[in-house]
Amino acid sequence: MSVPAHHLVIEPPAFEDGPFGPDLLAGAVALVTGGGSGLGFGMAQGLAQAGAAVALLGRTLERTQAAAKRIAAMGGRAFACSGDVRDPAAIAAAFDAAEAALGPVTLLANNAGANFPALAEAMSPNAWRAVTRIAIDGTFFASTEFARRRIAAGGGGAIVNNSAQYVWSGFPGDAHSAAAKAAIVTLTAELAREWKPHGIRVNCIAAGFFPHADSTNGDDPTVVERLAAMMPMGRTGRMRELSWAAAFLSSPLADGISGETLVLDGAERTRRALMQPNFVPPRERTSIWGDVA
Amino acid sequence: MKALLAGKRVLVLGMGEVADVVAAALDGVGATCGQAHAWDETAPSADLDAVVHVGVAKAAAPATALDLAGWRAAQSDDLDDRFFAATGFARRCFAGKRGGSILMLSPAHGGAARASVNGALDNLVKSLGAEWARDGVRTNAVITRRIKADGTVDPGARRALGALSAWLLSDYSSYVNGCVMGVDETETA
Repeated sequence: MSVPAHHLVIEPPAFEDGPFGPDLLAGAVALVTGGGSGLGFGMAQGLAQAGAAVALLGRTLERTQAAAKRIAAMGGRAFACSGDVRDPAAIAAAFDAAEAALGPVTLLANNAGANFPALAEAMSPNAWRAVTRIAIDGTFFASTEFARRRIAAGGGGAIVNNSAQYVWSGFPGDAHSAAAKAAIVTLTAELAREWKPHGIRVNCIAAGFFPHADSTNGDDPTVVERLAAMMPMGRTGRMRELSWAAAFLSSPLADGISGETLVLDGAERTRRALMQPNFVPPRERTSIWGDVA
Repeated sequence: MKALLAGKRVLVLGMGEVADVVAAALDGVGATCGQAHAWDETAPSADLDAVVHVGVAKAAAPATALDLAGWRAAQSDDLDDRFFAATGFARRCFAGKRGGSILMLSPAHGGAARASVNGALDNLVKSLGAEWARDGVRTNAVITRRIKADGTVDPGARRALGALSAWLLSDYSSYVNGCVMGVDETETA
């Protein structure tokens, strides 16, 4: 169940010992969709550590406000707002509010998403629409709102999108998210091409397992330990690794990098053996994504 | 900003301007870089933290113009030596019970030999990434059109290529493993 003691499990430096000081993104303002929790908040922390002011957009104002307080507690400048990324008007309103509070938004991190185990044949139209529209429509509408403003301002900018490690393999029992997250990778490349003349870079992080309180399996230590033993690197991702990757791709250090997808999964997607456990269709499993009890 | 590779010892292998560009960039973020044209199994390298291999620049030739010697030279210099360097470095890491980082850089284009090398390199990196993950040895690659077939680097991409290389080799990206990416592969009309 656990990682054998003779295996070498490499941990990253502590968050407080991060690679970037507050000068890297000084003067930048980042809007983070889905920024109130999970991976979105992780990206916001990285951007704030590197000196950006962050506007946190989420469905629930109370949650983004609590997240903004945490950013402020680490010495960052943050603003909380709420809205549904499926609604272009709500996105425009969030940008207006963020810019009134913090100044022109120069960075965008698209994290808003939803995911849950579901059998495709049993999935309701609402379930399909919710997951695909939050991820695909939300990323598209937030990106286009950002780009229109940056093109008008003439100052360039950077976008980092959040995708997943299963976009190249598919994910039985997760058809809605598998489709949606793959769309984000191809959208990243196309928007990078389209907005390159305007100095807007668009990149993507295909994230593996980064357990947090709001993920499907939560951050229960027993589950995380079992997940760690499943991973080639002997552990799940640490949120600070996502934080720093987002800050790097958003920063001037990555000027010239655009249209790319950084896979941040500890090689989990490449795990393969000739002989594997018997295949069990999702509908016949104890749980759709596999037993984690 | 901290020096991403402070105290790290890195060996940059291969030929072409790209080797010099990357070595200079890594030096600039605190690494101590050595350079060599090819992996030497007998060279003292027990204390290396990372190996970068850029391959060997070769002008693209039509497939019908490649004879056995030309074809084999491309495969030997550009693919075989990368494998030997990766495995040689990994064995040293295993022996020392310490982790390490491997980065392969390659031009995206350059004829049939380059195409086959890059295909092999792509899946080699993914395979080694998982195979050595529990040894703390990471393997990643950057395959980009911004490195030209002759080993020169697009002047506008030198900074980005250096920064990305440093980032991928650093401890701060320690969950990036088996990743193959570019720098900016977009072509605008």
